[in-house]
Parts: sequence; structure tokens; C-alpha cells
Amino acid sequence: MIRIDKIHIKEFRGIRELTLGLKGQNFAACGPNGTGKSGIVDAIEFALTGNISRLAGAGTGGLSVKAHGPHVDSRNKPEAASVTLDVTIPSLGNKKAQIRRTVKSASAPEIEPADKDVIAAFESVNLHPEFVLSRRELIRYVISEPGQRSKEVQSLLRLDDIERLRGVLQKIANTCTKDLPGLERSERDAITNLLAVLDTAQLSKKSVLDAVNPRRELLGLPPLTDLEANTSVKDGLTTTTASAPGRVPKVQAAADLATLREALKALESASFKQACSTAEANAAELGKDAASLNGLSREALLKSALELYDGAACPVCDTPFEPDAFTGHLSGKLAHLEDVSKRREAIEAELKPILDALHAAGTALNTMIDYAGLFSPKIVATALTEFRTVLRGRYQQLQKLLPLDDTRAVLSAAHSVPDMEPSLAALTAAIVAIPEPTKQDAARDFLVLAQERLEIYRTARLKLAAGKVRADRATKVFTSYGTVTTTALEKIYKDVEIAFASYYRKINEDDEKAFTAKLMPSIGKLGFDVDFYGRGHFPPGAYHSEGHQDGMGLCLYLALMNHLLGTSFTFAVLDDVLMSVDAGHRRQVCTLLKEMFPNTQFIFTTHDEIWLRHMKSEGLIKGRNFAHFRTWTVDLGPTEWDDRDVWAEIEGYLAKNDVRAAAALLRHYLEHFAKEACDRLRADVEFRGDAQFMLGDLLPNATSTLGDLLKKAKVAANSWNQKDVVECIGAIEVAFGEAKTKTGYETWQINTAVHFNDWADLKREDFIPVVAAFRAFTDAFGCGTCNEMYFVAPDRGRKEALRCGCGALNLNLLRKGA
Amino acid sequence: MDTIEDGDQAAEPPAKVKSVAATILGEFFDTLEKEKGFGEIAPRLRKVVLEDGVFAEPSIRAALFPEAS
Repeated sequence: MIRIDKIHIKEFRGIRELTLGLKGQNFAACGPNGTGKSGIVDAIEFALTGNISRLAGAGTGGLSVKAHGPHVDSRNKPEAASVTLDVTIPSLGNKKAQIRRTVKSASAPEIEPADKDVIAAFESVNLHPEFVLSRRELIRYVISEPGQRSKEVQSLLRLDDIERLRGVLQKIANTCTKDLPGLERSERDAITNLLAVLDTAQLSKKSVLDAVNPRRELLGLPPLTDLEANTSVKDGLTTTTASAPGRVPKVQAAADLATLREALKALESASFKQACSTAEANAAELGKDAASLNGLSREALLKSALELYDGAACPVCDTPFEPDAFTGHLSGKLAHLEDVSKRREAIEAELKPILDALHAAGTALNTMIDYAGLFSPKIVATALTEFRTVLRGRYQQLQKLLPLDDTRAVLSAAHSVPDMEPSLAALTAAIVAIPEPTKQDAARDFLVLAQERLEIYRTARLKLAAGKVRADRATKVFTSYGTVTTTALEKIYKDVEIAFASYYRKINEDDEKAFTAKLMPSIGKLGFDVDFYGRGHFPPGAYHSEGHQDGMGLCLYLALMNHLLGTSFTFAVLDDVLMSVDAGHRRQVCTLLKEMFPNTQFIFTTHDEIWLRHMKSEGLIKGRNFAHFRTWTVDLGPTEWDDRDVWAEIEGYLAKNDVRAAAALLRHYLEHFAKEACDRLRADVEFRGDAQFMLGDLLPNATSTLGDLLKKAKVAANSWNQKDVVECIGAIEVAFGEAKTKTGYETWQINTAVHFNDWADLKREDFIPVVAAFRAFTDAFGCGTCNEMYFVAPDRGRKEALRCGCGALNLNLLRKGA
Repeated sequence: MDTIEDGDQAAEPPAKVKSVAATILGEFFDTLEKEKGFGEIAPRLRKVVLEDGVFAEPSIRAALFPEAS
């Protein structure tokens, strides 16, 4: 990550041109609503990522960076809208670099120096756009729904890749497992067909060799002593007449016809009927329970959706979904249907033998339909073909189970077999009519067909074995993935939970010293409960105030960012956060940020001057590292409460002879100045409950306080016998005295009663000396080198020194021996 | 642009910010590699996912079942 040294914004959003010096330190932008604070946040985000969150995402309508990134007057000049950041990169040994981005080429920043390390550093920032935290985002970590919170947190931790891979691995594991029954059935069919040729009941090496070797002997072939994976049972045979077109092997065809008759008989058997009847009754029972039936449909839909999800959009409604959100949401719903899943599995177990019987009949039909086509003339097997179609329909319906009524209808009729006797009789007659082969021919046909079916069996077996390996491997990988990721996520949440609670205790150490929190991950959700004064753990929105919730949001964000980036958490923009947090707790927030994140540069925006004052007084913001915005106009953009802007603007009014506006601005500035001076010099001011201080309440106190401090410093310097310091103070006193006297003559002219009334009728020439007097007067409160107003150190307790930002002035206020 | 005077300080390679997801995925591949029969599969998966950044099903399948491709 980086630290920002300087921001230069030009024709961007509401800003015409603005340069802010951050010096790599914490920085605050303060000002009323609409003075350009958020423009700075937009500018930082744009420079680093090319995007502006406020112009993207839900609820932004047709807004875009391209169309609305430039200043409203520069909409047709996207090349003029630019942000330049001068940064330091701590991970590169505090290397200096610059990134500049224009709206026209938002995706192509200009980076200097463009070496790979610097580019990588900026890319890593781009990878973490969560460095900007706004108030609207702050609260979402705290009070959102568990499912939504999980999404927010996972999104912040960038865990979408975890869910993406989980989805893919699950899909592969499901598919591989789903392939197995088909492969097993193919192998079983291959075995059945092979056994039919071999005319044996069991498939073993011995049974094959026992069937094969006598035929081989008849043909003068050497016996096979072993049956290996590539052994050919027809090894040595020179002709393969059995495979010639039109040639039906009599013996095998007769055996296959017998197999078909057996299979059809099995369908009509009492035991098959009973199995169908039982399954039908159970399906009917399940169908009576509307909730279960509904659950069953939902379960099937959810499972299909999970299997078909492509990582981008819901396969059912085509709504775009993030992988984690989609799988989490559906998995959560499936978890609620556990009971339904068990009932479905029970019925599927009942249906399995029925499916096997249907499949066996179908396979036997296939074989005979093939034979029918080989006879000359061909035997009409329409009845067989039609029944095969019927069986296929029954099989498919039972496999998919739903709709349950259709399954019940199939089960009611599954045992019915149409009259196929004419076709079967024709086939029987045709087989009988095949000339009786010689023993040698029969042996040859046997070996050829046995080899053919043995190869089919071997292929099916290999496919099943490969399928089992795949299913086993995919399941193991998916299971291991689940275990590792769940453990890791639980650890993350545990770490974040601990850090979160410790941060929160720090900002609430007055009354929540024993505060604890619980982050509870479950499928697709993240529960978040917090302790409420020892009365138990509740969701944060249950009892805690909004101020406390704001604090929790910040603490959770900091804990997550700390976990996400570790030592690379060097930079964060906190846009208008903590508005509900009261003064005392804000001081603690300052302490937390200072002590726990000393290496992180925070950039704050706030419209609350008191909050800015707290940040300054607690040392979170040092020196002049803030921009105090005063106004914003569409023509000029934001203006600051600083010498450059105020005096230039007053001069502008005077140039136009608008004395009233100049006087109003001068008074307004002096009010701001007096507030600042009283704060920095720790002047005694009469307390006002409404915090509304008039110029007369503050400026005389600031003036007398500075005079007193200079006197005190002089006394102290004398006590230490520091003549040069005494002389220096004397010179300051003289200049200050003169400035004070001059303003004394002119004060009446900045009285509101004057500058808001026409009768005053002051001319430009009348007011120029007033401005000059007050400018000299305000200058006397600060250092000519660093332009920073003097301040008393420390900011509490005994007053020890009067200083400026650069150290050019550092007056001891303590006398010798004091 | 200015760079710091002390070259030694800059010599250390930049700490690459690893996303939490990448760390967790790395843990998974390490664990998988130690499992029996996954010594060759795990590095292949790691390359596809972490190095190439590919999460598409065909690529993951090919890494899991190289014998099938």
C-alpha cells in the first residue's frame, strides 16, 4: 500500500483546482455540507482505482465516471479532469512515486517512475478499493441481515474466489458421483450379455475359460491358461464369419431371446408388482403432505440450480448472482429441507430394483431388435420397438421422480407388458430356421461373440473404474476443500472477533471494559452478536445505541482491514464516519487510531468542526494537516478558511467595490479565526451552553491571552537569563501591539450593524485600511515561516510553551525554579 | 521522481499483498498435496487457480483428471 503526500485535483467533480499537502500523514477535510469534502474522497478513489463508488452500484441510476467525473463545466473535456497523487510507498523503502489519471483515460493511469515494483504497488491498492469507508457503508457491517453481512464481510475480505472454487469443485464432485450409476448399469448390462453368450451364471476367470477352452479345442486352438485384461478368447482364429452382415449366431440368438423372455416375465412377476405397489403407496403418502411435496419440488429445483449455476447468473431466472451469495443462499435453503431429502432418498432406494428390471428388459429388447434387422428378410419388430420406447419413458420418469403423480402413474402400470408374442414367435421361428451350424461353426461364432461382448464388458469395467476414481478424487478434493476453507474462515472470524472486541473496548473503556463479541459463520451467513453490559449476547442493533453501533462499524472495519492487509494497511479514507459518536468517545477513537494503527495514514472528512478539533487536540491530526472548507461555488469550487483564499476573496470584493460583502466575509473569517486562536492558545472563554460564540466573546480573549503568554514567556526567558529570547519576544510584542492598536481604530467597521446597513455607505478606499489592519493583526498570531498559528503546549494541564508548527518559535513559559 | 538515498532500504522486495482468499487457497493446496494420491494433482490445481487465476470448470477438471484429457 501507499501513503499520500500530495493531491492535485483539476476540473474534477465539484473542484476546479485544488492542491492538498498531506505529507504522508493523517489528514482531515472539514467543512459544512456541500463544500467539497467528498470530492476529495472521490478524487483519491478515482486516482487509485479509476472508479468513483458514488457513481457506481445500486441506486445511482444513469450516473457514470465517464459522464459525471469531470466538473460540470468540463463535461466535454474529460481529458482536462484529472487527479494526481504524489505518494510514498513504504514497502519499497519509502520510494516516491506519482499516479495521474484523467477521466478520458480512466483505465490507463500515468505512473512515474513506471518500474514494475511501483506499478505493482499501485495495482495492489487497486485490488483493495475497500480503503474507502463511508458512513453509509460503515453501518452495513453491523446491522445488516446475517446473509447480507456475510456477503459484505466476505466482499471486504475478497472471499469470492473461495466460493467460486467451492462451487466448481462441488459441481465436479456431483457430476462425477452422478455418472456412477449409469456406468455401473452399463457394466451390469455388459456382464448380463456376456453371461448370456457364455451360458453361465457367474462371471469369473474360471467360468470364462471353462466356456471358451472346449470351443477352442474343437477348432484346434491351444487352450487359454489365464485370462488377462488383454487376452483375446478368439486368439488364433483366422476367420470372423459371425460378424459378417446378415449372419445371426443361432445359439446366442436363442440364448438372447430366452433372456428377453425372462426379463419380460420378471416385469410381470408378482414380486415386481409388489415392489411397484409398495413404492406407489409410499409416493402417494409423500404426496399427501403438501409441505413435503412442495419441499421435494424445491429441493429438486435447488439442486438443479446449484448444478447448473455457471458462476454468473441464476440458471432459473437469469438474475446475476455472485458465486458466494448464490451457493450460500441455495445451500442454506437445502439445509432446511433435510427431512425431505431423507424421504426422497428412501423412495429412490425402493425404486432402484424397479429401475434395474426395466433397464434389463430394455437391454434385452435392444439385442433382439438388432437381431431382427439381421435376418433376411428382416423380421418386423415394431411391437418390440414400441415397448422399448414405453420402457424408456417409464425409466426416465422414475429416475426424475417428480412430478410425483406421474411417477405414481408409471408405478401403477410398470408391470404391464403388451402382447409381443407375434414378434417373439417370428423371431423364434427365424432362429429355429437358421441352419444348424456345424460344431466348428458354432464354436467359431461363440468365440467371436464372446470376444465382442468381453471387450464391451472390459470397456464398461474400465469406464466404471475410471468413473469411481474420478468420483472418489473429486469427492475427496471437495471434502478437503470444505474442511480447510471452513477452518480457515472460522480462524479469520475468530481473529477478527478478538481484534474487533479489543478495539471496541478501547473506545468504550469507561463502561464496556468486559465487552466481547461473537462472529458466527455458517453456510452463507455470518451471525454477529455483541455483549450488552454482561446481560448476554445480542445482535448489535438490539440494544446498543446508534453511536455505539457507529463505533462498532468502525472497529469491525479496522479489524477486517487489519486482517486483510496486515502491515500493508497503510492507508484508509474514513468519509464522514462516526457522526453519532459523542465527544468523549471520539477522543477514544483518536487514541485507538493513533495507538493501534501508527503506520496507517487516515484521511478523514467531517462536517463537524468539533470533531476536527478533537482530532487535532488528540494529536491524530498534526500541524496544518487539514483543510477547513468554508464555501463552495460552482464557478470556484471549494474555498478554505485560510489566508490565501480569504484575503484573495476579500480583495476580489473590493476590486468590485462590494464593501458590504468584503466586510461580511472579514467578520465571518475573524469569527472563525478567533475560535481557532482561543482553542490553540487555550484562552479563557465564558462557557456557553449553546456553543454560539460571537466575535466579541472570543477575539478580545484571544488577543489578551496572546499578550499574556508573551509576557509570561518574557518573564521565563529573563529567569533563565536568555537575553536573545527576551529581545525576540520584545519585537513580537511591538509588532503585535501595533497591529492591535490599528484594529482598535477600525473595529467598528466590521460590526454587523455597519456592514449590513446601507447608511454606513463605506467606500472601497475606506475599507482597504481595515482589511490591511486585520490582516496584520491575524498575521501576528502566527509564524511568518510556516504560516501556522501559534499554539500552547501541551494542550491540557500546565501551560509550558508557546510554539509554531515549524519550530521557528518555541517560547518556554516556565520560569526557573517554577 | 525522487527516490530515497539509501539503496539498501529499497533492496528488499515489496511485500506483495496477498488476498485472504489467496492465502486460504494456498493452505488448501498445501493440505491437498500432503494427502495420499494428490501429490501431483495439488500443484497442477494450484497453478491453474493461483498462478493462472482460472476458475473455469473445464480447466479445474483437466487439472483434477489429467488422464481423461
